[in-house]
Amino acid sequence: MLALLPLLACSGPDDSAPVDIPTDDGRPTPDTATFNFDTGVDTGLNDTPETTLTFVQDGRWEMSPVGGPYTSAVGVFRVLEYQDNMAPPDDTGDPGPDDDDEEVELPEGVICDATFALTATAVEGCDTCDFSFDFLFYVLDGDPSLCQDPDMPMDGETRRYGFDVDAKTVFYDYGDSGLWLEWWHGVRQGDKVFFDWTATVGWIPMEEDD
Amino acid sequence: MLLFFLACASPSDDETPLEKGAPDELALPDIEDVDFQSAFEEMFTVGMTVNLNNAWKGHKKTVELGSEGCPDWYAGPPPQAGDNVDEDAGGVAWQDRCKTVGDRRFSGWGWWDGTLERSGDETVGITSEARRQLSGDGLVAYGDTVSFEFDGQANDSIYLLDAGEDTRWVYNSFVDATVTGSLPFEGSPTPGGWRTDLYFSAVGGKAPSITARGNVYLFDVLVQDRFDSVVMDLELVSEEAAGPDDCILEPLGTLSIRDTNAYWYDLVFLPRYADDTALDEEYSSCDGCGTFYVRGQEQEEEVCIDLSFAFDMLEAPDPNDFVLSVRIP
Repeated sequence: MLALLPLLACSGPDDSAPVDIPTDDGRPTPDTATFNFDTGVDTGLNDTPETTLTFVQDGRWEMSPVGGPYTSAVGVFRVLEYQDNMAPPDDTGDPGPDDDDEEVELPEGVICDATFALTATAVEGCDTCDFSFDFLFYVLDGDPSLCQDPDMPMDGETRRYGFDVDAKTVFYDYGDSGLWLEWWHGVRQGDKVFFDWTATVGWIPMEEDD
Repeated sequence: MLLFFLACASPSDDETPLEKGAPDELALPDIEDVDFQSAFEEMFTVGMTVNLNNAWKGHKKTVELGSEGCPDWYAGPPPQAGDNVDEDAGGVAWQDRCKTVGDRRFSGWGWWDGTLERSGDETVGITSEARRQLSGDGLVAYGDTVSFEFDGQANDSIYLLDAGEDTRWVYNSFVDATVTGSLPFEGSPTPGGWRTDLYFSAVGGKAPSITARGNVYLFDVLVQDRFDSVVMDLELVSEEAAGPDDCILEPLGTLSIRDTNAYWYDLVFLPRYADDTALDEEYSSCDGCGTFYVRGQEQEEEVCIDLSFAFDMLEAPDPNDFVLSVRIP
């Protein structure tokens, strides 16, 4: 190995014979910078995320007056997010032993669990919507700031939604911009609309500060 | 150890140093048949299409081509994004190496985020402000055809005031990426895509202007079967936007194009900044002509171009396109 060292250290072009700059002889120069598309053979692999995050959002609107045309609504909206397959057990609805003033620790794997109360007044909505409302979100329980959905409503925020009965879709007026996006699946039952959305995506958990 | 020193001994002082002398003058290509006026104008036209708004078309179509489980979606940046995207950047991403039920193959990753805000009303005008970012190292292919490839990062923004007949807008785009594929470029003047680090800014409405700074390399389009790259460092103002001292007959700055032999042709117009006025007298005339250089050698004849057509090409991107939701996949 030591014997190779001098050869490696001194390898290189001979300085006494500089290379001339080629002159233009009229022949086209090959363009070595041409990009080759990467169309490698499909390996059949299907990578999967190491960690997943599941969004569960559901709720209901109760509209009035009965039978419409509707002028107002109240409702509830719940957001649950959990890591991998660590869905919490179903809520039995029984009151827990915790005091309302105490901060409840989330079950392992649950990222956020928040419930909002909704109050709304009717507004002009999207072209295809049967009815639309400006909803005021008021936090009843939990901390929505822990949620990873980048489009989470915050406490005290007002957002505009409309419902297309035939499409069974709740539309959201994104940022009050007039751009109506499909937001939740929904179904109308009388004067109520029930809506939900569930999705599982990949996710990198943020490292907690010490 | 001794061997090491022997092998690396420097030349003795007795040896005569090599005479370097003046470098040979660069050989100039035969350009008699080249129409440089239209070459510069065409390459500038191509450069105007290099922005995130056009790359986004491919990205948006790509997202629509996914099927369940291919690609995998991510909340926030995916693992392969590494340091290219802040870990708390939010947004949405895909990352996978998979094949859809429609035989479309996804490989790599792509992350994006966008915002849109509107204010005002029809009486005072409606203002739209939108921003978006795209980062990635991803390839979507169908058979041997690249549907969309994006490797790099880009961002752009639009400010649009719509007040009936008085519509004004400002669009800024920066793309530092390689973009190829049939989806973004089908029917475009650059079907093979490009590699670029171009900043492009355009003001539209009653007082249009254009600013472009950066490089563009075209993969398989050759303007006049000869030119494949353009470097722009210029500002262009319309008659409506010009101040009393502005020149509207020519842009400020430089426009350079390269042929496939890697020979550069430069067109130098009026300087953009007051500090540059110490340059040669020839630079200071506002006549629509620029000093012409071939491989760095100034030519006797100037080249005159007319870029006024560029203002007719200006079109504001749709702010609604800045938001790409995969809310209900």
